[in-house]
Amino acid sequence: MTGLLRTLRWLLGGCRFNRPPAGVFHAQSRAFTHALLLVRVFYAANLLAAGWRLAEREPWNVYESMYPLWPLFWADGMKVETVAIGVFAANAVFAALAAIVPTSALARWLAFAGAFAVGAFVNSFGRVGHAEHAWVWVSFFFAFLPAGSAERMAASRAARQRFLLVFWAAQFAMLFFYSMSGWLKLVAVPIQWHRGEVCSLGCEALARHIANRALLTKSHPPLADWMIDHLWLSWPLFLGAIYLEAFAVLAAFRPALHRIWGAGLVLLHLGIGLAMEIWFVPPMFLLALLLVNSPFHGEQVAWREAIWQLPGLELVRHALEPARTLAPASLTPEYGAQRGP
Amino acid sequence: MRAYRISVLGIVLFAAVYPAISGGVLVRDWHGGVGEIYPFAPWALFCFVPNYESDFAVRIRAIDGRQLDQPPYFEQLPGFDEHQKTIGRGVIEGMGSLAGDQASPAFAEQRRLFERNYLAPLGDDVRYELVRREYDVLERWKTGAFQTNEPVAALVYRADAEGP
Repeated sequence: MTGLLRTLRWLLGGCRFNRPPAGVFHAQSRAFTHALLLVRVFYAANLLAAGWRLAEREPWNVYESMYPLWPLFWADGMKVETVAIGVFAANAVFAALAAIVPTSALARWLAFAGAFAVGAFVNSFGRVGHAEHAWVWVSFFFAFLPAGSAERMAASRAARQRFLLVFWAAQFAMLFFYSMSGWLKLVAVPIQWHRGEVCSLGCEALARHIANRALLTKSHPPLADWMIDHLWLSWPLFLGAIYLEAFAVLAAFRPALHRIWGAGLVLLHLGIGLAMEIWFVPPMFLLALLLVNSPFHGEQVAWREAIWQLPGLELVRHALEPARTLAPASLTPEYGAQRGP
Repeated sequence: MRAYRISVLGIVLFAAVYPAISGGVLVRDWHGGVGEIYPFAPWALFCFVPNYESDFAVRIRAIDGRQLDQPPYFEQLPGFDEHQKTIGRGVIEGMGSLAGDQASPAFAEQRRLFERNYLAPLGDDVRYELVRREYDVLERWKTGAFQTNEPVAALVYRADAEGP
């Protein structure tokens, strides 16, 4: 089983070109310190978001009735205002607890429960949106981080590794969601093509999405008119977005791509906001935190290395360079030869 | 080491189970047609490019006995922000898809949700139509024209009524 998973990781990670860095235990310690800081930042931001929601709860009062999702079954028939203040206040308390003691597993589970309930509440009005989901899932994965003091974990190689694995799981989950979205766009291509319709690869695809969204909501996004009139730009941007989404999950296995993919997806959300007035602000923050600042990435972007690891291009590199070794990276002598704490 | 292996298996399990739950056929009819089990989103966002589209819309005919000369669609009403309009549109689509059986509890639930959240602020007696529209997206964007525009149901919201 372990061998199977290791080979899978090796294949997804771009095979022999994605080797562990020299001085791997030092790199692990550095990544752990970095990841620990990012987790603390996440819980501080969670408190900011929770406090903000509680303070700005008034817009929810316009709703007189709700259609509660299953986690809020108990709220059926209750006044929306009452449910809002209850859920938002509980979330703020739990978020404060996790921001104060992020090393406590209990505090992190409570923070997850708060985010989970808030996500359920904001989607309990007849339509499920998706701006909150990534936040809920990241807080879910972070709840599994090993508990205990940072000093104790820093002293144990196994604890550091487990911490980093759970952190990576949160990155993986986020990128996995984008891949699902990207591949579902591609799955629809032959269906629409067969019907003789404009499909996701067509030059009018993005223009049509933008126009439809603006028509449905009667909104006036700043870039909508311009993007609809300039197909020469909107077409390649949409193709690029599909590529970025579809192969996002591979980027999780290629640390050299973390920063590039994170930045690309942040810009994607920014573009969607400006062209369609759909603002996925929490995912933008998470991408910037977890991927643009990925602890698995070096200080500098190694552009040459990163470009050759782009999905598709690594196949070209395989064809151009004769195979030196076909062993999974984790089985190469560097790993076994090094000693660490 | 055991905890580490369990964590790895947990991630593999997540990658296998998440798409199965979010994309499962069973999900479609679960929870009154919302189409997903929170927090398992299918992430089917902008999969199909809108070409020749059909949708359901609400057109307001009269408020508190006053007939409106140019009946506005829901999305043209002032006083609702983008977020509210997006949710409202989802509810209207839900009503439209269930309009074939207007006596059903599912239709009544969607109608109640829409009327109390979006029509109650307009007045105590609101007459409105559920309309099915067909249009080419870019043509409508340029000219505002619909190919078809057919009323599906004529409905009334009264604040003093017990329920729809």
